[in-house]
Amino acid sequence: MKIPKLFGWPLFLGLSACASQPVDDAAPGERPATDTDEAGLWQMLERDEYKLQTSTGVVRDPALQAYLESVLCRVVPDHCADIRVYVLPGGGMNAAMAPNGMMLVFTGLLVRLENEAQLAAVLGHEAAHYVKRHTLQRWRDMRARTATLTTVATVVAAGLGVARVGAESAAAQGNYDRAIHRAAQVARLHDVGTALVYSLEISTMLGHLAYGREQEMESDELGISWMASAGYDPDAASEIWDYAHLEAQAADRWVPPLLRTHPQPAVREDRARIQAATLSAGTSRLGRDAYLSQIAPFRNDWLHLARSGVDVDVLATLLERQRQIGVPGGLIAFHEGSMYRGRGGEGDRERALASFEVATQQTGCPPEAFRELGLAQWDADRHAEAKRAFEDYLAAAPAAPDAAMVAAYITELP
Amino acid sequence: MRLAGSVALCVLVAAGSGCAAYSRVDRGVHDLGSYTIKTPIEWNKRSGRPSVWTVHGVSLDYLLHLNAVKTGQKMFPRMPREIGRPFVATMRATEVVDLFVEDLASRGGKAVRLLQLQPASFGPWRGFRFDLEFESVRGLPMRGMGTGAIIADELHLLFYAGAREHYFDRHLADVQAIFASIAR
Repeated sequence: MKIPKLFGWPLFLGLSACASQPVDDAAPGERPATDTDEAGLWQMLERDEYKLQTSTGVVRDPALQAYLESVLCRVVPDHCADIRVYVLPGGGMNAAMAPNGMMLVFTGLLVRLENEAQLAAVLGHEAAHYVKRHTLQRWRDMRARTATLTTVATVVAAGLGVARVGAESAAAQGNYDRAIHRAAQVARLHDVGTALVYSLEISTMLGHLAYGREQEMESDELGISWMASAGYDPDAASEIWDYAHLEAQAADRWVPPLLRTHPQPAVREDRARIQAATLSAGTSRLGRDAYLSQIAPFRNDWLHLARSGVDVDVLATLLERQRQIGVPGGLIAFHEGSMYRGRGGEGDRERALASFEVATQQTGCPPEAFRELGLAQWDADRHAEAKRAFEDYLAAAPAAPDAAMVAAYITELP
Repeated sequence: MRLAGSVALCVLVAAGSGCAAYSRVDRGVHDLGSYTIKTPIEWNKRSGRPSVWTVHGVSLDYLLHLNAVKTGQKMFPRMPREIGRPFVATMRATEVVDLFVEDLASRGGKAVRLLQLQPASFGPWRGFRFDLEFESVRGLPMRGMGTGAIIADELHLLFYAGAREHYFDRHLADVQAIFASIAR
């Protein structure tokens, strides 16, 4: 069959072409030589890291920072001095590793983890990207694939040019049969060449994505083996993917397997579980209390961030997760109420009011729950209760930035 | 340095490059529909919804005009459908400012922090004043100051922001004069 043959070769080329040479693992303390492409990559990232260091957007808490670094150093003691951890505000369940050792951990991830072992799995995974020099490999891989594409496109363009010159020269000599024959060749070559270049372009992209997914798998494996060596319970890694899978289902956003930048959470969960089964003996540290107490002072703010721009099903999954983690009910009910208030659908005002009422009667309730309760009661014309709720808010947070406004509400209420 | 040169260039190439078109805003009184304001300085205006006035370029300072936002509409209409909540006329100042802060964050503002929110007159209407600090999309530390009111079920809000270093303070008095000039 003609079509599969036509597309088969470029697909094969694009998916398999990876001319980049394998690279050695990064040695502890190693910096790339100045005349290498890797040094160029580092320079770019060092500029970004400088911006990060001077940014007010980074979460800077000495105790939290020391804690994260201590877990990192426990997981990858040899590279402890090579990697810097930055905590960034962001609602998503994300972390990232730059090739120069700049590791980004987003608050949306920290707020979803349950224990230190899960944190160790994440930090180990990201450190594995650094040690295996994955970014450099991906960069070289992309260059190699693009070079193949450029070569094919150049050959096609040259062929088209030769055929066209032939047709024009035949026409100029009055040899019209030959000119028509050449013109038909140009048209055929144009169709075939375009199809070839397009299919190669697509396969280049797919091949690059597949390569990235392989690296993620490799980092998963290394991260788990390192965390287990550090004494953490390796089953914790599969629990992260179990939850990520639930949230992905709630988000209901399907991406075709070939276009995914990362393997599916369910696949990672299975692989992590299988690997953990071979490692479990003698490794059992979870560090639940240590982790939760480090995160506790930030949880309310980070849940605010995690709520932003997220649909209600995802949010409900996130809040259920908080319940499982053992987060106090007052904090969960407050965010539940805010979720309903934000959605503003039929019956949501009543749901929000009920949640704020629950929140203010439970432990862990943030002061702003009283303000929100007051606003919801005001909407429901329960003026005396609203006034009380506002007074409770001002008593709990007298220096709140909106204290003057809430005090005005009290005088405004009938 | 004023933006005059770059604005003129921008206007010239607007159609071809997709660069936004600017026009000049003179000193004096300007009718914004439901109310008027008086500006003691000249601005460069980028039309659209919301319309934006700037002196040195929107990355350094800007005065945002959110005019007549109705129930069910978003403050920033061009935000993706799944991002941002709509305004509701029954919202109170705390909720309006919450919404504004959320939208600012969704549009790339980082570490947005409310410094103060208090009742204040918005011309002859009862309204509110608030102060913020945040980091711009480009990572510049910014200060912001806004005033607003719900008039006949429509939200009207003016928000001035500038780079914390130099630019915010440079036109603070001018913007305070604009806020004080709001009239029916």
